Amino acid sequence: MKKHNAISFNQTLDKRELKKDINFAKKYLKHFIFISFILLLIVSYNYKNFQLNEEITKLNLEKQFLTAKNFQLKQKITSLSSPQRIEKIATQKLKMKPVTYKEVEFLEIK
Amino acid sequence: MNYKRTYFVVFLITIGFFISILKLIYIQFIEKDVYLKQIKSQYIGKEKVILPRGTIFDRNKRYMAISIPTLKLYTRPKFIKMSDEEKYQVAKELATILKVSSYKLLKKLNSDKSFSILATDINRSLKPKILEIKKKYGFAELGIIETSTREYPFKEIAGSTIGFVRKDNGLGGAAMEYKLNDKLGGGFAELVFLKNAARKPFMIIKEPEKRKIENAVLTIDVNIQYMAEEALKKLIKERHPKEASVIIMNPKTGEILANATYPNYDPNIYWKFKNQKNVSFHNAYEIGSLAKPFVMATAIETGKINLNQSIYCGNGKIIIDGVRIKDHKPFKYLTPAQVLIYSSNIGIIKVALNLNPMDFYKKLKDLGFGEKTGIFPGEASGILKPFKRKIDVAYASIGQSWIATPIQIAVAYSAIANGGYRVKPYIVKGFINSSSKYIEKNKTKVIRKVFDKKTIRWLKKILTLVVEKGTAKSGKSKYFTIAGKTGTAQKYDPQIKALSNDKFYTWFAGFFPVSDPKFTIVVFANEPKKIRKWEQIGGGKVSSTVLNNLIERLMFYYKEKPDKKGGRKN
Repeated sequence: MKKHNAISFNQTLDKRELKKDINFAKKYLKHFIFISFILLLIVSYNYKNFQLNEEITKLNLEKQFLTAKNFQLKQKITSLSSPQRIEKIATQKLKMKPVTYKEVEFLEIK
Repeated sequence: MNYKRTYFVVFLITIGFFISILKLIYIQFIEKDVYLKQIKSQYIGKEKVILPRGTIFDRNKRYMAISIPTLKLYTRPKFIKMSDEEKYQVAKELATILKVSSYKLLKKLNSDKSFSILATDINRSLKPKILEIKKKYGFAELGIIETSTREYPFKEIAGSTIGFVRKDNGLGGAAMEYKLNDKLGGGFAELVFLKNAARKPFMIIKEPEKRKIENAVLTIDVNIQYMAEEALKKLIKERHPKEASVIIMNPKTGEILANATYPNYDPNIYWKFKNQKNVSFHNAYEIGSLAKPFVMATAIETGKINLNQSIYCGNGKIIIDGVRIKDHKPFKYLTPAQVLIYSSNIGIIKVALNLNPMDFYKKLKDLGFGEKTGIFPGEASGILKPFKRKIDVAYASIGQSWIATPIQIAVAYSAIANGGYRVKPYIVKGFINSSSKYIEKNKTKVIRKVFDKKTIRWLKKILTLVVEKGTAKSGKSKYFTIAGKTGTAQKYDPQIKALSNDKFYTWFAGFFPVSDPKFTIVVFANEPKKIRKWEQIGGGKVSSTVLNNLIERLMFYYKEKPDKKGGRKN
């Protein structure tokens, strides 16, 4: 009988504690939701930040590569348009001759 | 309060402090060598990274000097953990990409050095391919340094005017590259390779203070520069002078459009050339008869000459202060105009002796002789001292005993061309930012008025006749009027301790077209050789090669209509 009484007492105690716990949780539920929400925001922000950083690094590398390529192309264009090269092609390959004023007609705009 | 405890704590702190000081003294002074040795053992190597520099453009914004981003490939052979077969494969694959010998690469990979450069000046677009090889073979000891190389796409065109950037420190080493160091930036950062306590290599970057980089635009026109250099090459081929130069300048603005020099060099490989001088700026020479128009100008402006008078030219001889001076031809009576047209020494000496020496000296000073233009590094100022004796005046009037640089001559003759104003010459048109907008622009600077209107009118007329029928007639154009003066100065020969009879400085200085001068031209040669045995060396004949090959070509480039009667289209 004593034993039965002890169990029932314990059960009542458990129920009371559970109720207490639930009440406690209920009291702080809003805070818990709020903190979880903030944590979620921080995690997603960091994730996004990480992704953006990765993209920036990638784009920077691409920019560097394109800048290098751009400079090389500029240099190549300049070399190809050098008067030395143009004269060589004109006189040696295309067999052109320099124009003299003897062959020039001036058009007067009145 | 427990004072005993407080004292005890203070005592412990003081002891700790003293122990620290003693330890520092021990490390700094007693065990110094041991620690230095330890630091040295951590050091693997050091490498310079050349920083990019601003671009130099010509006046039409064409790239004359450009910093190309490149890569340097290094390795730490001592730390490589790869099999011989793998090393062989890496060397082979890298050699294909870098276009270098695989044998040389393999040799470097197999050496027992702590640090070794595998290749330099690698195109930066090859980086992904190199990284692929690194990943494929797990080649952790292969490092890539991002650096830059200075390139001069036009090679030797305007080489001595642009100058070069030194390979060792990334800074301008000569000419405009040197002059513009503060504006163009550049320099180098240092990479120090060390190893840590776990013997793993790591790198420290020592960067200099960041400087603002600007891009410079020069007044030089690459096309005109090329024309001038081509014309100069013909003179070199024909006359084999020791040095020569051609300057083309806008007489109204002072912009230098071309400065062709011999010797010249390719700035891309500057170290292969012994002579990196720019003849137009760095050396001063005697100018010979180029001085004569200035004597006449002084005489006209001080009222010491009647332009209609006849001057007795002593039949080619004159004795002053016991020194005999000869003419290149015996003349008897010449008018002041004829003195210039036929370049009579005796005639001009007689005019000069009639002047107040200080007036003549002041005129030359006003024209800029004896002082640097300040536009080029290492520029010579020339030598011009006040004339004390009659013989000094006589020699000065025929351009002997004082020296000037070709650029000073260009400035002085520009003053005749532009109506009497001495303008400051300039090579840098301005500075632009990355979006090609001018952030600084140089403007024409008039220093002073040096000639009267009347003098200019007379000089222009007479200098035109010098080219039409005088000493420079071999250089005249069928289509354009040219005004100018030739000069031939005897060089001092140390062997005979007198003025040489076969070594000369020859000159031509002038401008064209005379009606509205657009260009001033100076042609100079040091010791041009004779083409024929009986030929007499003179500024006119030597310079005619350049004038004949350059003037019409230049005017055609500017689409200028001939201004001379006799030119077919006029």
